[in-house]
Amino acid sequence: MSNVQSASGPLYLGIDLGTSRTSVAASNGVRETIASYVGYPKDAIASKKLGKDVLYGDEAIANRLSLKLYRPLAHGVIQTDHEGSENVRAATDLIKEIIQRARPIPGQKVYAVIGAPAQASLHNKQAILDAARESVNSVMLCSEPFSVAYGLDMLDDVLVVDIGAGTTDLCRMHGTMPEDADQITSTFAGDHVDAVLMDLISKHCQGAQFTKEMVKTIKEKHASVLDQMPAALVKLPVAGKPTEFDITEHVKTACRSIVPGIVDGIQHLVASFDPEFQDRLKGRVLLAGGGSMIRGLDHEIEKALQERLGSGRVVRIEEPIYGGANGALKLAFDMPTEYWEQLK
Amino acid sequence: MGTLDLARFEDADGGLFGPAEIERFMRAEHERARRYRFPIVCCVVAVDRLDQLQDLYGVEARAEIMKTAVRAMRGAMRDSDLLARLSGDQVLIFYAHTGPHTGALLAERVRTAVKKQRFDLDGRTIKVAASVGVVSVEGGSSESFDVLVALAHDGLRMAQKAGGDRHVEIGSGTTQESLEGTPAPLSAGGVDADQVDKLERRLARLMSLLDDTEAALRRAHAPVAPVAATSEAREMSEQKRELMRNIFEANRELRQHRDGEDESELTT
Repeated sequence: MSNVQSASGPLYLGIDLGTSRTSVAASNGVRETIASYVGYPKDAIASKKLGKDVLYGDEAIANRLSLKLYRPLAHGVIQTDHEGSENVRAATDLIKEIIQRARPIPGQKVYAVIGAPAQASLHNKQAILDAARESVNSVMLCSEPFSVAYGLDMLDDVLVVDIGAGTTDLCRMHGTMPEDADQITSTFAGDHVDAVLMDLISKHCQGAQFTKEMVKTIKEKHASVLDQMPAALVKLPVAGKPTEFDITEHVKTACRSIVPGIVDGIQHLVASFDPEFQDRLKGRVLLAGGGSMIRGLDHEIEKALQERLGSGRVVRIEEPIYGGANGALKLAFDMPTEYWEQLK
Repeated sequence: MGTLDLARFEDADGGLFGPAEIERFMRAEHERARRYRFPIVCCVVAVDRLDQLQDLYGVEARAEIMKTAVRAMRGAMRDSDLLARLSGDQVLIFYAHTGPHTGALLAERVRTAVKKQRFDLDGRTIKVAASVGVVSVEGGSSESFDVLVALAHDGLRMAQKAGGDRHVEIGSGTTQESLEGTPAPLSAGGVDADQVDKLERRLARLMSLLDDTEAALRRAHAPVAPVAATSEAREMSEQKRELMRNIFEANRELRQHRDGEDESELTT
């Protein structure tokens, strides 16, 4: 893309490359999000039926029986161990697609900042960069929780908890770039809730048939940790017959299963911080990411912090889905042009 | 009276008629459309992320947002159009004698009207956005009123799932989507796709220009900062410059490491 003439000013993109959803916020005002799934037709018949070589997001999930379906960012990073090259190809296509959805004008320069998990390995960061390079003129990576904090202009004494599907990233900000000691990544995230909920449903809902996708949809609709939550009544097939189950308690238990892990992480980051600023840090905990949409999660974590650390204030950001992408866009916008040019 | 539950209609914020009466009007208008074969459009509108806003700012803020949003929607409608509030803080709008193209434009007017509102909550000024599900049917269609409402709900769900702040149009077997005020490409009526594409891009550029102008105006009208605040801002900007440099350096190192790996692979 480097040889094309620019049609106007550059298009800046902030991309949140997530396990479950990939979102983009662009300087032309476009905001898009797609499920992080990529599918390729299994054979010629499937290809003819679908009329496309690659399907993305919900469309890929809906046609999964005809597709080789990839979730290239399972566990928060590009999967390079099993079916490595296929996953890298899927990640490249996913990034290409989300950039196209930002509607760049042909010939326009595209500068992108991509949020990567806080503790992604060097190898993985390079895999993301390689995947993105084909579609943009210049690209930079930054840690996901950092981009959330940057987007909110909260760079001092803030602890960001970014709950994704594959990982929960915790990052404390103290006015400088966070270092390794400032960041913790754990797997107490959305996929963990799904796994616990699947386990509970199979134990307690006799004969119910379900898939991981069905459980994810149920969770997204009913997720709550509130004592008095609305009843979660779901219909699941039993020997082919839709049967209603009350899974209110199971949903609550599954959603609460991530709280201790998150609170452990917060406690670790607070306890290892400058003692004079610890109070301020635990009073400024920001919840971000799709997982933060679990109803009552902010209060539940706040309650646990008060029990364990004596005090704590947790605030959920206004736009959990776009918080990372918005921050990455702001970062892209603020980045001096010479830096972009040097990284081409 | 069909299967639509009357209780789903709530008080339309001081409207002249009660909810049941408004539903009766809508059903009657729908029957007239079927009988006299004129097109109609039905929209279901919802303010995006209302539950999260309630969690952040409280129940009163939610009520205030809805009240203002409904008032803005009414302002963007024609006198002959009908509006009713559904439970779950959704709003149903019924446009008679309206074709699909006009329906999409009217839905955009409603969405934009809501987006223009500003709310002062907890000392912060916030903006809200709305999603709209639009269903349009040609004159003489056999679709029942309840099916129309259900389809409009489907459109709303699709708009919300795609990130909100947009309308999704369902009708005549096609689904069209428009976001941030950009009309969806017109697939029918023989309109040149390239021309539509060009117009879309121009609109995107104009919107970006509008945002910049709005930001510049805000800056121009902002009160003069006291000395302490100015130095704080300068410090902040220094801090940001340092951060930018650090991010750049980290990315450059990453690239150099990669180039080094490539070179050693080449040598091997």
